[in-house]
Amino acid sequence: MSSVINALAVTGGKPEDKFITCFQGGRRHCLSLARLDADAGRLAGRLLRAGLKPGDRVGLLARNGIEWILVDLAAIKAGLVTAGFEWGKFSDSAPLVDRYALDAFYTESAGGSVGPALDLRPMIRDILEAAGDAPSRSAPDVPPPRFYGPGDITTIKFTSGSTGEPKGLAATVGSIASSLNAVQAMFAHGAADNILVFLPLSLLQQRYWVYSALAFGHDVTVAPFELAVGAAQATQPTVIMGVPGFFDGIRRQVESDGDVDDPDARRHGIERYLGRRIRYLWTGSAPAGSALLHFYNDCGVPLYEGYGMNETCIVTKNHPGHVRIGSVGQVLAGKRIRIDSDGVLIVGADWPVNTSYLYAAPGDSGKVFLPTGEVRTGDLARIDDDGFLYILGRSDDMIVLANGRNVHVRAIEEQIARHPDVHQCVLYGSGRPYLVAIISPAAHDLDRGGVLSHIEGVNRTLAKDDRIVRAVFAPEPFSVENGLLTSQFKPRRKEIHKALQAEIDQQYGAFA
Amino acid sequence: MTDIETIVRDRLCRKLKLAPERATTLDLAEDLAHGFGLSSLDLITLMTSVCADAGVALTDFDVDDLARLKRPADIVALLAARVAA
Repeated sequence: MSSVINALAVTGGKPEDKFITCFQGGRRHCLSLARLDADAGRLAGRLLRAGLKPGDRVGLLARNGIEWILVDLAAIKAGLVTAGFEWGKFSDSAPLVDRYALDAFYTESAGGSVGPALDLRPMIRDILEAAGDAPSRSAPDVPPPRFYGPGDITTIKFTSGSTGEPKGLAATVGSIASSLNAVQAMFAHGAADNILVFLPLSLLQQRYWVYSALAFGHDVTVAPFELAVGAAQATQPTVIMGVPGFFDGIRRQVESDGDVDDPDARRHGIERYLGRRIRYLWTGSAPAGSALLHFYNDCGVPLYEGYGMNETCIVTKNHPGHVRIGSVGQVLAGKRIRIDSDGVLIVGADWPVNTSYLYAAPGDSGKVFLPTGEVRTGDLARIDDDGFLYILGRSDDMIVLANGRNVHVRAIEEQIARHPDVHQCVLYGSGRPYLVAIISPAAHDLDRGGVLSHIEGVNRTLAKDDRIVRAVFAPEPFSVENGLLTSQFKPRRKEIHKALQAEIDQQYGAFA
Repeated sequence: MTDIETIVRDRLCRKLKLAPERATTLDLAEDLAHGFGLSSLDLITLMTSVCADAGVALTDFDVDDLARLKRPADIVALLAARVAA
């Protein structure tokens, strides 16, 4: 297997005519990939001269920007292991240094203490301020290229669990390289492409597209979430990496702008926000829902849904010529899928991400990582005759009512969320006599009667125990800011239930 | 009423799916999230439309500028300052 990571570890040979553009601080930073590579090489040299040794850990707590990318690439060149912490989720860098045994730290926080770790801020400032030519591989300030084996580690990623300490997971070079090679075989990213990344770079998969640009020679644009649409308008990307919540927000905006029944008008409406060069849109991390997928795909803007999790990396993906709406696509080269006797999806890989967590409560690893080297995903799934995978719900999304009846809530929630005034729907009812829907409103002047009628309509298609008996309207939409959505726009079920517990209990009246 | 304020009222009115004549009656001191029920992504698409109408690039703003937008009046003030600069 040719390793993308080994290609990044070598300084030199990167394209002068392909660029990385970062939007941050009200400015646009644009560097050729050759310059980015050279700067990362220089930084790698300085990190090693400052006393860091291969295997040492570098923490990052910053929003998306050129600094994040420089540190990440320099760490690969120097043999250091990065640990990316999600901006907004962690506020103080000093405790992280101690807990995760970090030897160096880059934090965007102006006054943030990094304790005994090497503070990378001055070094990054110097590198960014110094103009320079791309050095040759033998330039004295650039370390000699490292060679990584497939079992080596370049980074620790953290699960975005809704409660408690995030679990750490050291990602192997083999898992990163095999995923990137398989994606490249499916999508053939090339010289004409520009991939827009706006989800946090602390998520390893978002850094993949920077690696892809350097390895396969295409432009890449990086922005924080808040500037994603502005960055798309400014750089006209061909590919946008987003979660369903983002693409759904664009859909709602396009619908509110005007007529979307005509496919050409709808496409033009989408292009107003995402640019005119879209080749395809990539989504995953949460269910997209068939209505959203049809909105884009039916007007010639391909939105490809896929499946993966931190513990497996990318597993399946719809891709050109291989699309089934409602599925999450076919399996990537190097991955294997099967369904166990409980209906749960099991994923195997030629190059697993790892076989255990690095930071987790005792017993957590054993619940996910099987002795076979496979990962028990916890997702209920089926595979059709052509190998397309369908996710039916989380095994822990299944509600067991007081009468013992199992209800798969995900499909019902998606049906309720099809009403234009419903932003999201979460069902509650575990151990209770019936289901209660919690509605996150999508409209200011919510048409409650319309939503309730819609629920009635959905109920008529459902078995008796699957029906929604009562509904609670949340006072404001679930959002990342109010802690009711994850950074990938997935509902935090426990927090939602906790926030509205009194209202939910009222719905059960004498049953409560 | 300034041009910027008219743009913000018009775009917010459309975002909220209200009749156009209600644009002039919107309370610009109302909270965008808690009062008008806008999500963070709604705010971004609203700002995208407002910036396009005002001839200002959204990417000229820092993330911290956008994080301070709590009320429609904040949007008016931010845009007005940028247009005047």
